[in-house]
Amino acid sequence: MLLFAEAPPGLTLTGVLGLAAVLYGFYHLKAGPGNSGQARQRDRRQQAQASRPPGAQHQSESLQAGFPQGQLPQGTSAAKQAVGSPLQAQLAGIRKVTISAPGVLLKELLPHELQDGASLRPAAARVLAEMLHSTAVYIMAHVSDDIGEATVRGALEAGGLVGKGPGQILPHRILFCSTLAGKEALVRQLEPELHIDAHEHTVKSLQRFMPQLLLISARQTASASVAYKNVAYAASLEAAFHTGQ
Amino acid sequence: MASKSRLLKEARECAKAPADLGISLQPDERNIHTWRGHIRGPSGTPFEGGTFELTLSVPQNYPLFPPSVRFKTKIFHPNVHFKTGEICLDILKGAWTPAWTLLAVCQAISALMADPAPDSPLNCDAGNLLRGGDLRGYASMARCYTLDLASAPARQLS
Amino acid sequence: MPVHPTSLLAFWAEVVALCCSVPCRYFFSRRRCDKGDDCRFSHAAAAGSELERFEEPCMFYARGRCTEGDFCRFQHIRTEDNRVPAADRRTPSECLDRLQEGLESLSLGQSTGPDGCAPEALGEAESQLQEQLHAECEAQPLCEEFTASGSCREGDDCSKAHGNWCSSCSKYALHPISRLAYLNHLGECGARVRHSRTNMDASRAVTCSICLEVVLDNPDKGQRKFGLLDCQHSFCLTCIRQWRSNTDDQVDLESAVRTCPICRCTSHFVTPSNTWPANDEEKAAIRLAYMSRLAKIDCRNFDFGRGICPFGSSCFYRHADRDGTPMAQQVRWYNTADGVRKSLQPTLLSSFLENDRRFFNLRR
Repeated sequence: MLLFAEAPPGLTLTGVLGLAAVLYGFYHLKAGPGNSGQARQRDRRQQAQASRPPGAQHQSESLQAGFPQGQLPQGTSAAKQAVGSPLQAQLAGIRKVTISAPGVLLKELLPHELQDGASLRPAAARVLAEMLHSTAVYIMAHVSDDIGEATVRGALEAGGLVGKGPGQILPHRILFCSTLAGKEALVRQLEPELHIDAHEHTVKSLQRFMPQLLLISARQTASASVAYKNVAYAASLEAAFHTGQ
Repeated sequence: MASKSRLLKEARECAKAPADLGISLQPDERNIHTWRGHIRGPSGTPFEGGTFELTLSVPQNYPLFPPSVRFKTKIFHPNVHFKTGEICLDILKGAWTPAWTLLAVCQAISALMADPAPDSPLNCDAGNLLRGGDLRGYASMARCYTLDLASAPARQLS
Repeated sequence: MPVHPTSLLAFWAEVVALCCSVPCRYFFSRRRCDKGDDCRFSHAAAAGSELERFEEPCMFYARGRCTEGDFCRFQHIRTEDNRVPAADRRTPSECLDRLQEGLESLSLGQSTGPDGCAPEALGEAESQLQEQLHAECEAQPLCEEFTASGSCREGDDCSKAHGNWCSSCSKYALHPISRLAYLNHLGECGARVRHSRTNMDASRAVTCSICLEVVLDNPDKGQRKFGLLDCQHSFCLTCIRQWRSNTDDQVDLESAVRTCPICRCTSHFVTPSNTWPANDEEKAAIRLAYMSRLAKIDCRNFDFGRGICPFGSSCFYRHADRDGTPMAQQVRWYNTADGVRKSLQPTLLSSFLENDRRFFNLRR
């Protein structure tokens, strides 16, 4: 009792201040780091959301954003879905693409049409050039003879697509075949993640073996016989891929 | 061991082989039963200009039993498995005789490259191309793979 | 009773001393002792002087030649019993001397006339003498038994000539009388030796296509043999037999193993040979000799009629009973669905339990 009758000589203002300091430090240690860490994470999240492009939210769905599985595009609905998606984003996860040139890159479709000449579609050429920046591309063409082969090769070279530079395809990666079955064998040998073709028959034959196929057809609607889950449809190459230009 | 003396003899013969043969063959320095070979693509074929590396594994009872040969460089050929490099050649299986040497085996493989046999394919796509008469497609694909995968400078053949 | 060590030592010393005085049988019989100076027996005895000799006369000496020479342990004497017939004792040089003497006697006895008829008479006498000698030679052909073995059962009563030793063919084939026959044999022997040396020289360059080594340079002397197939390709006997006994499932038995590794010519058996034949005739002779040797050996599968030989009448070995009487194994034939005629093999339980190939591995 004598302890509290009168203030001991040690318990002065200095002692009280020191005790307060200890208590403050204890409280700071206990609650301080958790609070600051959460704030930092929140800030980081806000910065990331600010820098992300508008279409990037679909990046995880990659090609499925442009080619919805199980859904047949109605007219240009596929193009509408892809509008605003950079091509690289669409091709994310795709290392190799094979393209059948007639009907996709060229206006001519059948081998006998290539005898008189080949016309390169400029828009499709731009898409191809963009594709070549990020993906390995192999072009193949079903021709009937050396004239057809020379015609196709000449058209691609005239479009500036053949060479060793960026946005160009190496000459030996332009493949030719004499039969449609041969074209299917070439595609199966290359094992691409995506094959683009203008022939329904080829797409139908390859449907079982390829992960993704794109049928370029002016009809823009698929017949019932070609309705497969891994097959997408588009009116043109530029309609299927938006380069952002 | 009989196989070792014969392999030493063959190593000496391979060292004296002419350069225009297009075949370079040498044993591993640490194990004479493991050989490495390089075959130049035969001229006049889609493989021209390419250099293809092979690995040869010689059994202990050679030459009574054939060596195991496979392509280390990927090649588009109906009688060669594209992924494993396994070769379908009769002299490496039932038609083997001790008269065959490792150099002769490589020569036979070079001849097989120039003259494929699509009836017993290990590469079905190549076999289908040839059996369907699509020589253009076969040559085009073979040439593509040769320039993509086998066009490294032939140091072994210099 | 315990044996004293000193007496034991003395005993062995006496034994050694005794041995030292006894001539070494190997030194004096073969003129070579492997122990050399360490030999306990005596090498110092004079040749034949202290060597024990038997009292019987040496029959080889009686016939004209004993290879033991002074080291022979039989008596080298010629008595009436073992005297060599006069014809046998003539060497070709003695015959020539006899001819010369005959000619000289003819020339001395001749009286030369002014017309010079003496030389013609001399020539005629010489030719008569030659004819007489040749006739003697023809009347006394070489005894085959003596030629082969150096002894003849007829002995002195033999009507044929007993030849002299020929070191080339190791036979008593040199005619003791006729110089012509003597020279002919030397020529033939020499040609044969030269031919075999040529063959051996040519064989030294032949390599095996399996081991790639020179066959006759094999470190193992027992493996310096060729294995002859129906074609012209050369292999070591060991290498080709190892290949033909290959039972790997991967290798096709009929199209690869039973054929030449190089030309795939089918050969049903391999013929061993010490030399590489220069031509087809030699190869045929080697093969014939091989088959003849095999035909004298009893087939272990046939087992004097108690067993069954899978090769039947095609077997290389002898199918006979214990008396040597040839026995034929009855072979039954049948036609397969493909029209191929095959021999019917007996059904054995072992064929269901073991690999049938064991029959084809016999004597390959």
